[in-house]
Amino acid sequence: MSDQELFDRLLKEHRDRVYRFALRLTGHWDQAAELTQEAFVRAFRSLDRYDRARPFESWVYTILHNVYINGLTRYEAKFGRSLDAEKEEGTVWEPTAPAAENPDRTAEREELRGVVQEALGRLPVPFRAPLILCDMEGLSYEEIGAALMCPVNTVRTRIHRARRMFRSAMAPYLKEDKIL
Amino acid sequence: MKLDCERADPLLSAYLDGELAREEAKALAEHLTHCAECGGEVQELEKTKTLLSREWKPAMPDDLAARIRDSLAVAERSSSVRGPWKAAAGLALAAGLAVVIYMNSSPPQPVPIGVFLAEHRHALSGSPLGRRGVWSFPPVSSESAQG
Repeated sequence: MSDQELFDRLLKEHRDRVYRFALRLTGHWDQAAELTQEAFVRAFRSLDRYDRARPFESWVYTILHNVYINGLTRYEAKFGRSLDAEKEEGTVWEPTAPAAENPDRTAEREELRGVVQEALGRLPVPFRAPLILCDMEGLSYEEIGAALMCPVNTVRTRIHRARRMFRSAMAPYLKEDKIL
Repeated sequence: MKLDCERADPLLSAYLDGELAREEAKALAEHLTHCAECGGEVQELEKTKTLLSREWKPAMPDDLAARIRDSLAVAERSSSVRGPWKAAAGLALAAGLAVVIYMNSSPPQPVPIGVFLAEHRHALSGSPLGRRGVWSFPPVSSESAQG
């Protein structure tokens, strides 16, 4: 199998989940695209350092997370302003996606997606990342630990705290009894 | 193993996720049978988990996948071009080092300034610039030519 064939196969298998992780992590369409691209390119350029015993996806998660953490300052300088300021221009996460993807989506559902993303965005990254991988992507604690390079006990503690933080961030909506 | 609320609380999410060891899970389940407060907390955490897990799952846009393919192809091309250039640069460096070593091993003898200028005046005398005086030198005395 040529490098190009291998790349195509791995990209096809993992593209959506890796992209979603970037999207949830950043809450920003452009930033998520840039981050996903960077992670895949770095992964493929250093395939010789990839431990084949480890799931490829976990490895890309690790790279993506590291790029995000290390480059946070650079990204903030580039995309720069507050979430609210960018939202007004429609460049940041908006619940509305291309209609073809979800034609039956209700306005209420769209609003909820935006609210959920905003609440996620209020969580510090060390709590946001494991919560996304656990609750949104269904990874086990061990897989999350491998992806985020931290011990399973840390994953356990962070997920528990992250759920509580997320619930607090969603509190105004929960009180209206709209969602849960 | 018996749990009170303080010890049970940090285990609640892991219990929900099926990530507790069998003994811990058993002890927590037992605690939950008689603790309404912890039971209520598990329910709240479960709602949160459910909300997140049922969230929309967008797919990577095709144009992004194409961009990733393109950028990887560019990276590969530039690395394959870099190979021959690296070899050429290595050869040039080796040649440069050889010249430096040679020059250091036989340092040039000092040339008296008068001889130096006289040689240049002679060399330039036949050139158009020399004839026009652009590169002309002042006359050199025989004394200074001796150094």
